[in-house]
Amino acid sequence: MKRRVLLATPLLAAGPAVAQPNRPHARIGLLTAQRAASMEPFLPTLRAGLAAAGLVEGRNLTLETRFGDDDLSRVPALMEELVRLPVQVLLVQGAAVSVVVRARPPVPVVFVLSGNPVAAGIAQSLARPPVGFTGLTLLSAELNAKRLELLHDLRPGLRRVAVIANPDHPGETLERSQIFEMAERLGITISLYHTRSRAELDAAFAAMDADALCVFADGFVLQNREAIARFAIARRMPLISGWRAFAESGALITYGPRLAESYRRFAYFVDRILRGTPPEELPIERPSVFELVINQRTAAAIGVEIPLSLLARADLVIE
Amino acid sequence: MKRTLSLAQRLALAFLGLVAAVLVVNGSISMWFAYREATEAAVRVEQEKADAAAERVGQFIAELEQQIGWTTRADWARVPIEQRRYDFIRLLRQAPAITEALFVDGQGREQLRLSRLEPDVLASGADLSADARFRGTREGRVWYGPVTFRRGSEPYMALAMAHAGRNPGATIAEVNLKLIWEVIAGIRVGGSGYAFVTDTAGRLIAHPDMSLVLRETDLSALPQVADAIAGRDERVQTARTLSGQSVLSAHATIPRLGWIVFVEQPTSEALAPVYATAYQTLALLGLGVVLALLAGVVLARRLTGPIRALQAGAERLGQGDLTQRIEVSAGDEIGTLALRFNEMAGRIQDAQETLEAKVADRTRELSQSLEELRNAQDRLLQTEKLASLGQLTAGIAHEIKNPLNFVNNFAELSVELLAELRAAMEQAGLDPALRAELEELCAMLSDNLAKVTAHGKRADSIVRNMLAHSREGGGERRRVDVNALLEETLGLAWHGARAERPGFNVTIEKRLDANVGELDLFPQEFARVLLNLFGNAFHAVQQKHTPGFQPHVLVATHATPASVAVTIRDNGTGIPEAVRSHIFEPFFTTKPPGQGTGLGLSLSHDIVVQQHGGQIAVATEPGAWTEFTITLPRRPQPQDRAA
Repeated sequence: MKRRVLLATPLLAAGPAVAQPNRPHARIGLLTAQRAASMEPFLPTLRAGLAAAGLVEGRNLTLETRFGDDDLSRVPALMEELVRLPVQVLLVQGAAVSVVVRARPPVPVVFVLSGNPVAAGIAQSLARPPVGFTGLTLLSAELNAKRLELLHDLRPGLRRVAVIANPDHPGETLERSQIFEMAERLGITISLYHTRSRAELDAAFAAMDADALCVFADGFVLQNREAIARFAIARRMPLISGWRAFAESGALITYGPRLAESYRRFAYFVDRILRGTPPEELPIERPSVFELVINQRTAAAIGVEIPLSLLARADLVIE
Repeated sequence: MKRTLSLAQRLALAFLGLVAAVLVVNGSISMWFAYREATEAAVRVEQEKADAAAERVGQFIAELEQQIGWTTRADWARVPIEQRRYDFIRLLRQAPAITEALFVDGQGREQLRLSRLEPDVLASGADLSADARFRGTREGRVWYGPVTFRRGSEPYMALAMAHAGRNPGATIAEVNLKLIWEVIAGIRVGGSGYAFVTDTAGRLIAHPDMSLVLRETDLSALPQVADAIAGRDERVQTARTLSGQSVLSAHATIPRLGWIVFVEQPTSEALAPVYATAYQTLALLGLGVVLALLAGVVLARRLTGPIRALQAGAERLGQGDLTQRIEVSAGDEIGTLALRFNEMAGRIQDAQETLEAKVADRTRELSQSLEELRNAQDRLLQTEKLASLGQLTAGIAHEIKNPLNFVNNFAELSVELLAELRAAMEQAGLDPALRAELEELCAMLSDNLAKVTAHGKRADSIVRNMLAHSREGGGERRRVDVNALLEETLGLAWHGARAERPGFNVTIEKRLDANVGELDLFPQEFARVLLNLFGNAFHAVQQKHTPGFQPHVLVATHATPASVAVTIRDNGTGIPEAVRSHIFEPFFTTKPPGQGTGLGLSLSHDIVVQQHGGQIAVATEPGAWTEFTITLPRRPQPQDRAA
């Protein structure tokens, strides 16, 4: 048998190649309405995911990034620019997603959305996205009620909670309704601050008077996360948001999908589409792994003791 | 036109065909067995993979059960609600696949509900006693719910476990089956094989391509899935994927869940060893055919080479080249054949050479006989001629003899009468003058008479010689030592010649054969022949006067069983061609008149041939030499004197 294998080896030498280190060069566009800083924690994850799929920037991948610098009205022009380049796949993040979906560009679009794409009217169903589109939802909206509950667990006597949200974010209305419903159940008063610019954010800070702060995760708040965290610590307010990057920047608690996982899936979509799968055949994916991160330094700074039931849930505790 | 193949080509083709047939048959059989073997091996591997995959998926669920089992202790019903919540939090923390966990008491009332996405609910008291999940735990300890697709996308399954103790409650977990993906994607089947899981209805639960699961793909239309659902025995089969790729598909059922785990590998990959064997067999076949071709050609050449040599040899032999031989090296049948062929050719050659030699012999014998016949005829003619001449001579002599006797007798008588006359004249006293005159006349008469007498005697001698022709073997016949006779006669002849001419000198060489011995001869007659021949020889050498000439006479005898040859050779003047045919005729001589009678050789011929039955021959070269050879038979033949 060994002899046969030896004999057969040269015959099979021209068999299928195992790896694909020499896949053709791809040009991918990345579009967001926010500033470059909003993408900062995710870009390395995205690059790692693409590299795992054999797409390495500088070798066979060009990543064209376009930022709206918090001006959603610039998104169509930036999109046109990327389409003209052209790019083979267009990655769209956050508030820009609705604009791009309406514009229906002639390139496949992969979006990543904090909210619910069905609720935002972007797709009829998760399993059957519209032609030319697919993407990920990060379930930020669905989890806001859960976050409010976590705040309540932290401080059972909680009465006033401030919410910072970007009104341009698709599905923001749904997020709002869910959190109001939950707040009513818990006897909590919500004061909602719409911030789509630094000025509005500063104004919100000035007007804010609450026991805790909940931030609806999106690109805009992400780029201003440190300012928000500083503000919350200064006011000794427990701050909760969706993404781990907030906790790492000083927020007390984050609860949400593990974004590293999600962005790996993001790279997977890009890979599949570059290999010829129409986007609409790839169902929109919800995250399946969630993480609870608690920043003990912030807890100490604001004098909050984290109850055991919360610590037991924590996937990561920043000491 | 039909072309006839050469023996070599046919042999090569036959060899090639034979080897190719053997190889093809062998290759086909081994290929068939290898195909069976490799297919079975691939099937076995697929089955094992399917079993392993089913095992791993089962393990995934079993782990969940184990973790949920934490909350089903008998004492759990008595712990405070906060402790129960804490336990559920830990359960969610440990089992990421569980999205929602419920505790229902023994009456089917919801006591606790924890969710990753929804706010927690404590002691809602919602009546779930009719819920399938709760009812399921009343029948068995563990109940697996059907697979549902939330929002038409994510596969979920409820897993309910009854608690221990009396009137037990139940823990219900909603499991996000998306997380089986990690298990399924981790299963490697060869290079590009994969595993997937369907529920009992053929709906896809887990697949390395998550998008297929999220689209709630129904695979029950695929034959391998349909067969698996139907519970057919054949666990491995070749099938097609949704995209139409041919695969080797195996499946295994997960116990209790009833899910079916499929393991599929592209047929080309699974059967790669089969193809490898096939390629190898084909390569070996090709190699074998090439080798067979080469071997066939070489063998055919080696085999037909000697046959061709044989053929070429036969052709050349056929064309008459009897010296043709075939080079043989092999000791086989062809070699033996070539050897026999060579022997045959040799025999033919020998036979032909013998035949030629015989023909030559016969021809020579014939020509010799003809020659002998001619010689005999010539001799006979000569003898007849000479015999007639001899008889004529004898007849003439006989007629002359009587008158000659009268002449001689009366001449002698006249001499006596003259003497009486003289006496008478003395008595008569005649005048002295007259008397002187008469005396002178008488002297003259006496002289004349003496001359008549002398010449008469000479004539008488000639007549006697002539008469010798008619004589039949004068004297006695007896045994004579030929060599002795020869020596004696030679001495006489030599002295005779010296007497005649005192300054005569000649070298005489004698080569006498001692085996000659005695012969029955007429010695006187034969001596006469010898004297004659010696005389002639001495005369011939005297006649030659070339400068530095050394006269030489050879006398030789030579004995054979049947005859004796006597040769007398001189290096004298030789005999001119015109003379040679006449030398044995009577009265033929080249000597000046009065010196030879011309009867010597004639008589010698008569003596040798007529009296002794022998032969006398002459060979000569004018101006150089002459050789007489007398051949005498040892038994004298009856005298044949045909007149």
